[in-house]
Amino acid sequence: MSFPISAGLLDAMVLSIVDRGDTYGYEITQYIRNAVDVSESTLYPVLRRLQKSELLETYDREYMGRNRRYYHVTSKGVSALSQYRNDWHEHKKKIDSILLNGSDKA
Amino acid sequence: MKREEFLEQLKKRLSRLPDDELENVLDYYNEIFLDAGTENEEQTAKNLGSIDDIARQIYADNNIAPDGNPEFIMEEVVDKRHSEAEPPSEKEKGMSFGGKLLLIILLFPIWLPLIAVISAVLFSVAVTFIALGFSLGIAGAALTAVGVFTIFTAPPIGMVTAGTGLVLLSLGTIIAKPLFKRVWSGLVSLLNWLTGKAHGFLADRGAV
Repeated sequence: MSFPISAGLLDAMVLSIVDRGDTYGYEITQYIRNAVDVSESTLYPVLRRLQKSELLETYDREYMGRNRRYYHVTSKGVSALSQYRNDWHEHKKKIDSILLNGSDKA
Repeated sequence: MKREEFLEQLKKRLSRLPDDELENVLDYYNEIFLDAGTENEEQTAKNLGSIDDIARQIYADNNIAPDGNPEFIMEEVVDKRHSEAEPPSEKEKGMSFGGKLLLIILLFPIWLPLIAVISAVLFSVAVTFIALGFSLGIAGAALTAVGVFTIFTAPPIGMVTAGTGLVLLSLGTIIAKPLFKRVWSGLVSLLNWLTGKAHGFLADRGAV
């Protein structure tokens, strides 16, 4: 894709995925990879950062004889996500107004 | 590269990382391999990219100097709104409107008595001088009146008394008049200064 993805956008997308329901690392990365071409290695720092800033918290669940780390959005994470969504709306509107030249009615 | 090998190399490469952080990294990658399926390990390892790049990114995130230029370290466009640390720019810009207001309010035990004392002193000095001028004026007027009446019965005494009265009256006027002027102009300029300050303070925030 011609547009690089920013760290802030990845944070927002990961928060949004986990907000739909607690999930684990691999699943999160697969969702993200549906939209943008990033590797699991790119997402590790994202998940770690969200944990450190207390937007995500983790707990371990046993799965097929091993541990799986699940991610859960904290209340701080929920408000951060809604802020991200507002910001995205604003951002999208501004970019569209130039890029789509006001011609796109969709 | 198989899972075991990948994790082994990553561990070696991240030897400078604190133990709990290292464990977290290895757990994450181990899980990715297992969830991607044991039959896909080679492909998974390929997708994950270079171990050196992974290590450099993680060192950078942990504020440990990475030994080389990582290829996929993202620009620090991460917005810090949700992180613990306050952005330093806020402090460099000077205090916010709310901060100043809060400071002014919190410091009232200092400035309130100070203002009270200063105005009390100024007020008493002014009152003293006005009273002095006033009483000199009254005494002067009274003596002048008495003197003028006395002139008819005992002219020398009357003239001395009236003269003294006139002297006192002029002394009173000399003291009181400039003081009246000064107190008045002082009050006016104090008011001007205060409204100017308040106006400037609000205009800074674009409130006016």
